Parts: sequence; C-alpha cells; structure tokens
Amino acid sequence: MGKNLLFVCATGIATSTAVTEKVMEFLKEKEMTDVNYSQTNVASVQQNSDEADLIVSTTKIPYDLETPVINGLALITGVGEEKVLNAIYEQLKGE
Amino acid sequence: MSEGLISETNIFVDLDVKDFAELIQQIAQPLIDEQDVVQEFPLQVIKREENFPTGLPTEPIGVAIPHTDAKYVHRNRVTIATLKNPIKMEVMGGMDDSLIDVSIVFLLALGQSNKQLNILKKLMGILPEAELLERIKKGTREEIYQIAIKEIEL
Repeated sequence: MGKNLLFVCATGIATSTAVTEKVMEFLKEKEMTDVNYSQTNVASVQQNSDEADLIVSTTKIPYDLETPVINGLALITGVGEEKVLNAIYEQLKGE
Repeated sequence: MSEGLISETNIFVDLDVKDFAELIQQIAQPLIDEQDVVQEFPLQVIKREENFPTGLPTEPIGVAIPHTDAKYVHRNRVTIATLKNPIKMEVMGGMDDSLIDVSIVFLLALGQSNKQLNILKKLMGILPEAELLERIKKGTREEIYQIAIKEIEL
C-alpha cells in the first residue's frame, strides 16, 4: 500500500518544493517508490493532514495533529541531512 | 536578456546593526531607491519574519534568508549583508523557539515563486560549505560579489 507524505512550509511553494525534491530523490535511491506526496502551506495543514502518513515541515505547525511530524530544517541547511532523510525513510517503512 | 540578480550596491560588509529590523531597513534602501521593491517591502519582510522565521543554524556561521510575498517585488534582487556583530534570530521552523547568532544575511526580493525556488536551491547548495561561508563573512564587497556571481551563480 502506498504511503502519503505531506510537505509543509510557510506558503507551500518554494521551501516545501525544494525539500520535496530532496526527499523523493532519496526515497527513490532507497527503492521506496510507492510514496505519494503533496505540498501545502501551514495555514491549510489541518484540512490536508488526514490522509497523510507523515508530515515533513520547515515551519512551525501550531496545531495538534494525529499525523507524526518530522522537522525538515536540516534538508535546507544540509547540516544533519542524512539523519533526517533516514528518519523519514524509517518512519514510512515502519508503519 | 538575463538580468543580474545582484550588484555591488546590494552588498553590505561588516554592518553594525542592533537588530533585525534595523538591518532590513538599512539594506532594503537601495532596493527602494531603484524601485526594485515597493516602499513597504522592508516592513513586510520584518512582519513575515515574526511569523515565519528564516534563521538557519549553519556551521560555523549562522545565516538567514529573509523574504516576503512576491507581490511587493518589482524586480528580482538578492541583497547580501555581513554583520560586524551577530544578531539573534529565530530558527526556521521554530520548533523549539531557540535563537541563533546570524552573521550572514541573504535578503531575497523575488517576484515569482519559481524564481524563489530556483534561488533557494542555489543557496541550499552553499549552506553546508563552511569554508565558503567563512570567505563570505571575511570578504570585501568585491570578493562577495565575485563569490555571488561565480560560486553561488546568482
């Protein structure tokens, strides 16, 4: 069964796209191909999180969500990037 | 014609400012003078930063990439500032509200979202490069300009 990954940033445009590309590329290298993704801005995250198995966000999410959230900041700075990519992979694999 | 994103008037070296607001007011002035942005651009950048901080905990020098909505921008411009004394800024994502010291600032005035993505990716390419960040921090205006053109490919 495919997993749904939701990428969140302030506007749902630039930062989340850059992070999406990095994560999807990594998952592809790990041969995890049954992952669907979408992007949204933080203001709309509540309406869009129901179907998501995991959220990767570069902005603070000021709501309580059922979906687990991973902080994607390291994917912007490159500092600690591998650790976060692996955490995303493990989380998707583990469910 | 491809228009340069940066000129030496958009580079500020060793600025002495006390906080983020003062910094932005000062470095956005050439953008306003050249009508690259609307008058309220600096205020909008300051306001956005309160809700969506852009500090990045890069090593060994903290960087920030403040910006605002494309509608306040007439012409795409990147402004670079290095700071004499670091300013405290919130970290992007702000999950733990922690403050970091920022000494290099890229103020992005970008009018289209695809341009924002394009520039963000270029900056992401250099953020992990400690040695390059050190060179920017120590650089003269001319040296920073050369780095911006040749190495960041702005």
